[in-house]
Amino acid sequence: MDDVQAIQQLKQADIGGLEILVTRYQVKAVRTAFLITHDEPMAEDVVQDTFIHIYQHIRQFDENRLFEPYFMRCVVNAALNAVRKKSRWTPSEPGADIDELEALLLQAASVEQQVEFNQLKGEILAALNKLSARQRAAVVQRYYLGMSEKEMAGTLETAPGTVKWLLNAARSRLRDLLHERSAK
Amino acid sequence: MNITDTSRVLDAVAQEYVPGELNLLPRILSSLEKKNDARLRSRRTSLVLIVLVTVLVLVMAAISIPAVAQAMQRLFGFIPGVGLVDRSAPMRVLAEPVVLTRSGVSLTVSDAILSADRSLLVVDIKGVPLDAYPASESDPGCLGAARLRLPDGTLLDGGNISGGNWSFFQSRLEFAPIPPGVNAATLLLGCIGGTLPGKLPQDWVVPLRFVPAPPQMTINPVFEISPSPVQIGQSGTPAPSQPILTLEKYVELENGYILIGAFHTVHLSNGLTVTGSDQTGIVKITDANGQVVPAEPAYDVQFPTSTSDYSPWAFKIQGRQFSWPLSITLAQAIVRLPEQQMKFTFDTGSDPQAGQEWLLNKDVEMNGYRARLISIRRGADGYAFILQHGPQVVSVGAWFEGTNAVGGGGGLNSQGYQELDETYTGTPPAGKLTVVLSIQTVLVPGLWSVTWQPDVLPTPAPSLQATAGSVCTLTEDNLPQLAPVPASMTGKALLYQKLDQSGAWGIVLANLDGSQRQVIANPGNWSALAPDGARVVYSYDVLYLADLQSGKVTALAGTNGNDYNPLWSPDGKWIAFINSVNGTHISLIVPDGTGLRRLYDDSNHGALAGWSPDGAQLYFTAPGLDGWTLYAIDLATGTVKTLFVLEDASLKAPNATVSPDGAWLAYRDRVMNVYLVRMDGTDRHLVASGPVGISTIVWSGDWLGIGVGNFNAEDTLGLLQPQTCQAYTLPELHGNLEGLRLP
Repeated sequence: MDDVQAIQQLKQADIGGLEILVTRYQVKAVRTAFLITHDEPMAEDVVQDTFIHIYQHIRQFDENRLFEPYFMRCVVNAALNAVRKKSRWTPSEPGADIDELEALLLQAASVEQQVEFNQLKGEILAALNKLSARQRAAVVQRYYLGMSEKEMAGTLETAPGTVKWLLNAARSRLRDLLHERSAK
Repeated sequence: MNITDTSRVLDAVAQEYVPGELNLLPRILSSLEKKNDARLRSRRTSLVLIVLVTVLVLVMAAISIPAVAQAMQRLFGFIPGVGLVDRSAPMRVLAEPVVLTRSGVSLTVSDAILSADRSLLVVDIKGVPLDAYPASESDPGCLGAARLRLPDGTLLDGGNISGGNWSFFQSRLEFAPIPPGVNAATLLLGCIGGTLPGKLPQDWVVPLRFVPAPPQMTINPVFEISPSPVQIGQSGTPAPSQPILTLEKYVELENGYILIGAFHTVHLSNGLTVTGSDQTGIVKITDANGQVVPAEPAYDVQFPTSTSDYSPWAFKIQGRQFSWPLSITLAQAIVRLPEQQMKFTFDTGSDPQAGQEWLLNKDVEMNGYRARLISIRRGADGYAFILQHGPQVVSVGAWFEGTNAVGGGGGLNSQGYQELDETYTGTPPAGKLTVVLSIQTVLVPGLWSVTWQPDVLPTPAPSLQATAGSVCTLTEDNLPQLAPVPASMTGKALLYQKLDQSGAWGIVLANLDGSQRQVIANPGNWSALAPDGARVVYSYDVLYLADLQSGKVTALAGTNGNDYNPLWSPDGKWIAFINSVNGTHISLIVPDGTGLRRLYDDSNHGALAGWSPDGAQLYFTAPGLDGWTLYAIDLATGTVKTLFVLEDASLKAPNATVSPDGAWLAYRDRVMNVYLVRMDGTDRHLVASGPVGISTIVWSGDWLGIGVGNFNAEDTLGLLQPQTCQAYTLPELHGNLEGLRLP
């Protein structure tokens, strides 16, 4: 059964549709939320609440839309809200460390040794940790969920320009960083 | 950087903390169940208020407000032949039918439904010989009590399995819910119900296995309606203290609906009481035109326990195409009058004879209802009371006080009168007798009704009978019905588009039919097509100018990074844009990179909306206290004028754009519909709608290019000329529409 059928089922108050969607997307959703919240129980709560929200508003969902991106946007927003509520993470200035993180991601994507990869994973997590939740959300959307900048603008509740500025700034710094590294 | 690779890396990072064998479903379902309970509780509280309001409405009598049903989904489903089932936990069914045959008698467990609220088994018994049954009705035979034994030894009672008095009999047994994860049980039956002990094999032991319900199992959705639609009483009818008739749920069937509701015992303003349990069967269902909708009792709906005050009902209506809404009407209520009696003395004489009749014409009136005792007739073993009453009186009691009648009956006689008989075992009484008359039940005209229609009407008529090339409001519904842009209509479209499978997005220019596709920028975003169609400006850190003829791309020297939202002046001599270094600033630059001029420091993250046709004013929108507001910058003086607040504009990004003639502003509202409004804020009207949302709006002349958004796929694009209602699709174009140039 594909997402459309599951949503149709759910729209007809058939809870089986929800079961399918949960089974299909829960892992990716919790990982997405975790990358933003850095808090496993919070990530699970976020995804649970998002599924419940989806269930309660499913009749407004247009089946012609793809479910996954819509759902993941909801998860990202809910994760951000959860972090804001708890204020557990000290926000850093926008753009402060995104370049470092992007460089690490790039590096990790190209390593061949598992040992090195594992080490980089730790560094990536640490780099993520330095970012504000909003920055983490931007990174997760772009580099984990593969969303376009315009899609991200909607999720981050900000004008598209703001997001583009964030990413453009990050990219330019990344370019500089890579130039520096290759020069070394 | 390859997004797929980074996605894999981040997935690996998260995987250490979030394992793949996650299962949130039980938590989600449990939470949903609790939320529904909580809602029910809060609804009960609010019901008091609703009842008070309803009473007020009814007391005012003449006021007639259509009922509004707030329907919500519940976790219930309806299985034909089974009834309502709670679906808050995954359902299970019998893995396979189990047949056990002993001495020619077969016991088959043919079906099982295990839901969160109960476990239902369907058991067929075949081959019971007639001599296995008792000869006398007074001997009930074996009870046939059935139990389910769970693997941990728990025993569940579930009713009786009967052989009936037939060679084939089916029993439906209901047990308590079997816990999730317990997928086996044993049916235990001491003997088959109704048969004589020892005549048939006893102590049946039937092992059962359960499996998850298949996805294709027919489970019809059940919708709870809470609160019930407001009950409206016809003007002049007695006002009830609370609704007599409520509608509680409906089931959506493939070819109809089941309506489930209840009658309630209520007190009427005339002092009478309507008893809920008396009302069943006199409901009328009509459509919006007053036509009667065929309905029959739905016997396979199991009800909550009925009381004298609460009497549930369920009607199945055939068909799904009606003139909505339907009215469920209790045309008149059966009312039991308070116990009252009228007595008088009647003398039969000392030796009344069978067939002797005494004409009395004695009238009785109670609570405004009248009846007449026309006569009393002596029969062979008693008396008959012949009564006459109007149609509003349902039943009248008539008897002799203090006598020992043992039976009686009644009905209409050949003259159309009501006849009540009293019979006696010995000699009927005679002489002076006291006759008691009592009007017992009457009909109170009510026409109390509730109106209902399903949440989602079966096949909603298209909101707009779109014919190719002619719509005034572009919708998701009519967009697919529109004709593609005709070959005679030429032009260029600038698109922000996914360039290839790697996921990279860039700027592309193409003809309206998709031909001559030309990648302008990779990467790149925020682009604008020059009025002459020969140049494109786009942003990527800084602004770049692409000359389409030469293919030359030049970074605009005056821009310093973080520049976006470029917008050409009508004469193509200036580019307005937003720079977001140390705040956001609206700036101007000459396309050759000179003449940078900061116009306005906008701390509110506004967006450019367009130019006036003469290039004297630059419009932008920015969020303010009252919502997104349109401003105009006078380029000569640098002054900024507030024009008007965009009514109900999208909170995130209204994407407001001014038409090239400076007459109209197009923008998105909160649900991403597109409205046009004149530049003085008047004449606001819808031009494009759809729940998915409109992603982009661009103008070319008096044509609007509109992208109907798909979240991670590309937009569906269309063209609309609002004044003429001409509209076309652009099926060969994909992506976000950033610019349009129609000759």
